[in-house]
Amino acid sequence: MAFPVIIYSADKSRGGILHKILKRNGLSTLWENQLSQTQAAVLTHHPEIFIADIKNALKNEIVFLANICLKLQGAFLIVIGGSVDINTFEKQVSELVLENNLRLTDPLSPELIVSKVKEVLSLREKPLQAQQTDLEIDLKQFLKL
Amino acid sequence: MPEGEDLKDLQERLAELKRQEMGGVDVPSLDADIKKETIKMERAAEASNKPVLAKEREIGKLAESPSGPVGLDVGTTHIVIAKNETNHIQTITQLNAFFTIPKSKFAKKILSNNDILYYELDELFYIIGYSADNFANMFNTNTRRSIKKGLISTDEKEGISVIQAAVLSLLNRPKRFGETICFAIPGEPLHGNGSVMYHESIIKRFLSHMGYTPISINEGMTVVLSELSNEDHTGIGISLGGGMCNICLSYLSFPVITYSLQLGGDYIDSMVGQSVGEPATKIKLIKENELDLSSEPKDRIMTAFHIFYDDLINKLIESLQRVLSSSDQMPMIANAIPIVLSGGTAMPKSFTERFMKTLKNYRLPVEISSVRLADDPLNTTAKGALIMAMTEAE
Repeated sequence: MAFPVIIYSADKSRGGILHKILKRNGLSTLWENQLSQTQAAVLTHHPEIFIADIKNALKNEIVFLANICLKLQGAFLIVIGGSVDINTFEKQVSELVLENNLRLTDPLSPELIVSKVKEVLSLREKPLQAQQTDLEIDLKQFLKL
Repeated sequence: MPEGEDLKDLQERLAELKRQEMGGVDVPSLDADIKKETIKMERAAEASNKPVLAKEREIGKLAESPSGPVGLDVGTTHIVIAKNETNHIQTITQLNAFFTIPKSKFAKKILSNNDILYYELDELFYIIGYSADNFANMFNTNTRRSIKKGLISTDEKEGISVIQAAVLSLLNRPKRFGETICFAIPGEPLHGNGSVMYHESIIKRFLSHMGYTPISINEGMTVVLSELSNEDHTGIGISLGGGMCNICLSYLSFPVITYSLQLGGDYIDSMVGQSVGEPATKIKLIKENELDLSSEPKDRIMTAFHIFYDDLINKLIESLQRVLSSSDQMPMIANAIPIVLSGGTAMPKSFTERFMKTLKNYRLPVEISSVRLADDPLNTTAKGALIMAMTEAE
């Protein structure tokens, strides 16, 4: 099963809430609380969206997460945490990563994150739908319908 | 082809494709773990809607060996166990108190002939539970407590063995080794002493030795599990016990903020007693039988009760305001959430209305939709612990 949304959060409560609320909104989501497993999950599932909860993370953990973000291959990144954590994260990643992300400082806003995830996923689906419509048109023309 | 058959056909083809991808190995249609978890959650949700049948431990009755998960509340004044029966939840209560008398052959004969729960240690007989209350009354004195302000008492050297004896009077070894038992633990006291970790570890070790698989749950969270299933387990659960108040803010069944105040029924009894010059035991009896917070106090004892209940409610709501406002764990909650009150200290008539009235004087960082009393305030914690045990049981 492929997961379009992957969460990393070492915090059982914050990670659990995000996982539950996203699933409840019909979004297929995987939650990992260990860095090595998160890296493996990102490489396996190539998610559309990666949510990194870096609240109270150690500097080394932020560096590790920043490296994971470099392997995201066009996925949208949502970083959540305290302002100090986010500043540390920003220093670790390149401009390229920062262009395609959203940084949300505390307090944790699960409902806002759900709406952002839905928005990003629907925007990413649109080009695909448009492509399908073109294909449909071509097919119809070919079949002279 | 009808739509349903069409879909079935598609699913079969997809399964076939997956089988081919996996080299011919069958792919289960539903993840077995998820299915198992769902069944457990459904069973626990069903249990939360069952009525509670409560009884006190009968003198002379032997403890049973449970054949399913168990909920346990080791409180300052009472110990309660909860078991899931076919049509209801059964709770059994024991008084968490003891009384000592000097060892003698005569005393031993009296205790044995009357099925009184006791054990011998050094030169003393330790009388446990409700029987201890009867003895204390006979000697015109107070029972002793193994738990003080919600945690294992440091004043009583034999406190731990007394708790063990009281639990053993309600609960035998399980029929199945490793049966899940969930017990409630307090939140970290906001201002006060005592180690929750020590309290938790001692109870856990004892239950493990009995053959259970013990898990702990925050006491405030048990109120949420027991009472807020229709609200997605989102809200504030407050358990007002004899020794402390336990508070938990839960969001989608995750205990986000938990803490305790070492104030409860004992604090009220002792403050009222000191103020009017009466023993706390007498004050407690008046509180349990006569106190009505809705009517104007008629005498000085009732006036003192009103004063110290107001004091407790103000301290509780003030702490809630300060903790919720300063916590970095507090999520943004768009909708108003309910508060549920439970425990013996919340039981006097009109306590909930008084709480609601006081709440209007404070501004919490989250909107409150309602305040209500739990269905069965004395058994809410054990019931919530049982629901947790059922969810976690293998």
